[in-house]
Amino acid sequence: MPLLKEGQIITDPWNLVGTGNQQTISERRVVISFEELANFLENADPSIDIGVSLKSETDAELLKPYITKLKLVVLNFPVFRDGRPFSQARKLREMLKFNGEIRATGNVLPDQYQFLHRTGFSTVEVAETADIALWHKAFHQFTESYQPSIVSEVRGKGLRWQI
Amino acid sequence: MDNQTATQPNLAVGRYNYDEIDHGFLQERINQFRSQVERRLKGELSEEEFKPLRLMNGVYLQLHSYMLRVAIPYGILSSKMLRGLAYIARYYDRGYGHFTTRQNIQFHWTKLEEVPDILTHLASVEMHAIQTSGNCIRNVTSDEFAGLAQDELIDPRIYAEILRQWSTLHPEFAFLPRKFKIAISGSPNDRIAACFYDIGILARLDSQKKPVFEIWVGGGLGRIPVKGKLIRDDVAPESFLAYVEAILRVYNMYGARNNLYKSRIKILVQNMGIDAFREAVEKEYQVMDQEKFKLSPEIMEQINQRFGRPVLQDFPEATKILDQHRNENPEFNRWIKNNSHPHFHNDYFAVVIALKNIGETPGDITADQMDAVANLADQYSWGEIRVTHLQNIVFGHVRKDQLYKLWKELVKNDLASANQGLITDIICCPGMDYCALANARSISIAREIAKCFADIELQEKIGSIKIGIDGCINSCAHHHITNIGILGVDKKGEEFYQIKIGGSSYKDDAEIGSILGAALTAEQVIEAVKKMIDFYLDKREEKETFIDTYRRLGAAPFKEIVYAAA
Ligand code: SF4
Repeated sequence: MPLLKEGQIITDPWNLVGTGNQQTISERRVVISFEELANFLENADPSIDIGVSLKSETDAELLKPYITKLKLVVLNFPVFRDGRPFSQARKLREMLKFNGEIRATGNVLPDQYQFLHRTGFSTVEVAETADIALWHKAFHQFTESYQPSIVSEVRGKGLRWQI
Repeated sequence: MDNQTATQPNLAVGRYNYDEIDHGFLQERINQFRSQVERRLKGELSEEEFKPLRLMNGVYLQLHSYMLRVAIPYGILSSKMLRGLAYIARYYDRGYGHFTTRQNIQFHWTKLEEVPDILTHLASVEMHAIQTSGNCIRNVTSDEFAGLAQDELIDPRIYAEILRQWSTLHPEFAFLPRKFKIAISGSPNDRIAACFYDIGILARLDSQKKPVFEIWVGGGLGRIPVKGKLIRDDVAPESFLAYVEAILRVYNMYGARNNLYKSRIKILVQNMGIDAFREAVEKEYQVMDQEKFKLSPEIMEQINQRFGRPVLQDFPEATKILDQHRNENPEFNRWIKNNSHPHFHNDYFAVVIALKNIGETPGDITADQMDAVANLADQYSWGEIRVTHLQNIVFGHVRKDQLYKLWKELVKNDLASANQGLITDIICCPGMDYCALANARSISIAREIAKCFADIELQEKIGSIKIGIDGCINSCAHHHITNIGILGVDKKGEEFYQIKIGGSSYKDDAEIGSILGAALTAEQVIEAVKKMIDFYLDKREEKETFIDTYRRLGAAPFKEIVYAAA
């Protein structure tokens, strides 16, 4: 599935299959579900890159003990109306100071793209049939916002921040 | 009156005036919505996907057509805005609009294709429909006497505006478990029903006599009415936004998402308990970058600067002239007695223009009336119009000697009902006549009750009382917390009505009413109200209002009166 970063398609080094929490391995990279993470890390080869996928109901804070070992966190939207991954992503950046890749998978709409970006997501996996031009446009939809976010933005007058 | 100039003559009084950036933002938002509508009409968006997007822009699919709900932030309109609304009522609707209990206005007869054009028109008068619906932070409501009340400690409009801006397309809180409603007042005396909002905010003086915010959380009406809990009573104004953000973070993550009836914050607070909830909020509050959320004096000033203010002038004869007018005209005297509210400036009054004419729909206003009100506001109240959560209008700053002239104009326009706070000042939801969720009509019940008590002398004799009528348990008209609440229920396809008694909306004696007995037919429910009122008039002791008598006697005798075999 196409992977977007800042509105552009990029090649996916992780090459994830599907959006579930099944373990997906490509050579030196492993993505594993949160439930399996602790066990896996016990015997893992320290030189490989490890990613974890989190269900939307899981408290992102639970990643705290492992966070320095992770390169990727995959946050899944079971349905686009489930707004929890936005909080998970923000928390990963803010509370756990995670600066690896945060990826959105599942059911997301282009209309949510700036929300994803501003809560700390770095990439979005979109459907094969997705209208990439629409996603690209959505990434640049708004140039101003009225609240601080987790990404670095320039402060304007009053409550405003330039996106 | 010739001296209605504000501090900054080009700024509308009482509200935040947009600058270029705000206008640009709104234009971007309309472009986005226009393309969403196009994608929907082309079939690129399913109705399921489109629904939350249109709801976030206030577009509902109603019984007969699309309804557009337009936000009136903290209830304040300028005359220019009201004329804009009149235009929309005339050209896109059927010549009227409906004020809701949440300081919004609804147009019930719009066409989806036309909504982007309506939004463009609204934007030209600095209005929008952003987040008037959907599972997001809704229009922030405030005290209708904000900025003029004698007991005010902090001007809540600035903070309401801050909440409006901050919540607009908030990236983390656009897809909450459920809708989220905030009300704010800058007075210690609750006029906003603070305990019945997701977040309700009042002000008080701390031990150093500094104003601080008192924050109530987890109140609400609907299927499970709950009185909110006090989460903090000492939030410094500069930290206020950070604290509200922290509450929303906890709610977004932990509010139930699998059960519609359990997804409001009230259930989360109930389930966690207020102490555990507070702890979770404090944790977020501590961890966040508070500097980014801090409302520094510079930020406050930048926002404050965009508010127009009236230049109130001393006019020592004003009161004397008013008293003369009152002596001359008993009708006018009555209107002043019932519909005025004290102003911090002694030569001014705030007055309530009741949209509660007997036999008409509470909260409805025609396009012609909107224009008339706009003109009167320009002449008498700095072009400022306030919409109340009781579905009336307030002129905030009228010099006392001018009130008589204003009143005569109102009489001409059929806007001079002197029934504010009386039994015919009924709060009523649109009910079955418009609302797709309704079980029963509510407007017709309101009209019938008002007719029974049309005699203004009788109304005054009955005194202060609040009736709320809802077409379904959603409780848009607050029937749970009005002295007499009427709720439409569906019994095998027929309209029935349940009565609640003893509800009360405001903090000090906030109370959820109790169900009186089995549901009644429309005719019976009107009879029941008459019987209860007769009973109260008969039993009341000196100076007691309806609610006082009820509290003294309890529900049992009222029940007996209503349900006694006819
Ligand atoms: S109370 Fe029910 S019927 Fe009345 S407007 Fe609200 S949702 Fe509709």
